[in-house]
Amino acid sequence: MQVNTIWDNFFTKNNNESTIDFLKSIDIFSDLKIREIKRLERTLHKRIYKASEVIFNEGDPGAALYILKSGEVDIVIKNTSSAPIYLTKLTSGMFFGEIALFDEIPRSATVIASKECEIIALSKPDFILFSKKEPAIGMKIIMRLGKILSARLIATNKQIEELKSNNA
Amino acid sequence: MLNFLGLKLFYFAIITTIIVGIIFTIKSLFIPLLIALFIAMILRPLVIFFESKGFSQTSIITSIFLSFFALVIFGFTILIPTLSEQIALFSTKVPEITIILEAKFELIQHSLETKFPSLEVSKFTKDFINTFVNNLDGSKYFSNAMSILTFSMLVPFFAFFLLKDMHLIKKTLLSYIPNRYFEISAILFYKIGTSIQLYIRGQIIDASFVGIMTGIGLSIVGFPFALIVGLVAGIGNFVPYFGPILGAIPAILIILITPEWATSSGIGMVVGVFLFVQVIETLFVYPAAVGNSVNLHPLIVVLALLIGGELAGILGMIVMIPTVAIIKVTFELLHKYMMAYRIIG
Repeated sequence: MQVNTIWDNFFTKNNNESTIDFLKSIDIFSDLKIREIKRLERTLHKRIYKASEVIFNEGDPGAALYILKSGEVDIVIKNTSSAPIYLTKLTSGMFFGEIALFDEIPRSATVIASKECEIIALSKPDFILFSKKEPAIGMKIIMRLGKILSARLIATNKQIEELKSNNA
Repeated sequence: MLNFLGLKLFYFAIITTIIVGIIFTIKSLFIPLLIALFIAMILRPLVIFFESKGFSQTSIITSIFLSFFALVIFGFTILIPTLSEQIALFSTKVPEITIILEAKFELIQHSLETKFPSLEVSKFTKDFINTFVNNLDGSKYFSNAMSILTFSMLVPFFAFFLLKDMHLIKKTLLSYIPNRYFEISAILFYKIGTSIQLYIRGQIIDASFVGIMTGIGLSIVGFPFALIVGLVAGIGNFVPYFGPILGAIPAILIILITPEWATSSGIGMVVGVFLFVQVIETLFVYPAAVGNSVNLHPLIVVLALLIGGELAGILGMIVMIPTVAIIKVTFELLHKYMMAYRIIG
């Protein structure tokens, strides 16, 4: 499903104001100025997913970060012996698949659209190229992502500690 | 399942036929577009470098093209007069080469006909000499004013817009890819582009080394038409396996028509220069510049040369080798990632 027609891409300024405002509200881009987001926006891909459509499968090489503009997605882990294990639901404004920006390691879970979704994708190749052209903006995004991932790691460590103490 | 596969094969065959048909129909556009794509890919890292320094993309591309034209004009005023002088002088020697070649071939023909009387060797040798001598006359490649105009206008025009809007073209193409294949397509565009870029850059560095070193080496020993021989050796270097032989043809012909070079010491000096350049190129330049990323089978090289020659003559033969290398890289990466994404089993 394509959002832009060929003529949209070639003949219109694609810096949709609502998209820019939306991106500014996303945690990873919160350190960027509006003009920096406008530059980044040129490299982003807008995609529509129907309800029940798989966004990516567990085990696939990771190639893009996804930002949920509208709709909802379910994150599940496929289980060979029983039904898939449901992990969580993500809603508008949340992002997933960020590890793919750093490494091509296989995806750790499957993401499925539970409602029709509008998703903004930042592919790893585009991010690499963008960071070469705009190193200062690329660095801001990486630093922000680093902070988010560290916070998640600390939270996960706390959960493990709690689980250990509960089991002891 | 079989029907589905059959339908897929049917569509594949139709699309391939259409593409081949288009290529043959608009071959006058295809070669400049291909060269422009190569130029755009080579120049892309330079544009990205200057963009990272804060320059605008359009101003960088415009500056690169203006510098290129300045370089061409400079080349025309400094190097080209000597080269065109040598080409013109070489063209005057073509009848002399024809006579010598005919005499040599007559000897071979005579001995073959006495051994195998049923063979029509005389017709074959005459055709061969005619074709060979026709191809020798360098001025013929530049005689078609329309093709020069087409090339000099179309190549920079295509290269400029490919360089400027490559990301837009890629983004538009990706927008038409179904969601299921979005990630694999994004990766493939990048990986294939990078591999091609490295391969073409490597080939150009390698060919330039061979061309320049052969030209300089032969000039040092005082060999006539050293620049032409260097130029042909450099261009011939694009062709794997046969490159050194192709590059040596002009030198052999010049030795044939120049008695002072047709001596053992003269031949030794020319062979020495060629050997020296080839050894340095094989041991140091090629591994560093090109590596072993794209190895083409000799049979594929011959087929590519024949198809390229059929499409656009000598230029087609030169362009077809990197094109085949690109197709090979594309298929290898396509297969690797289709396996990784479990599109194929």
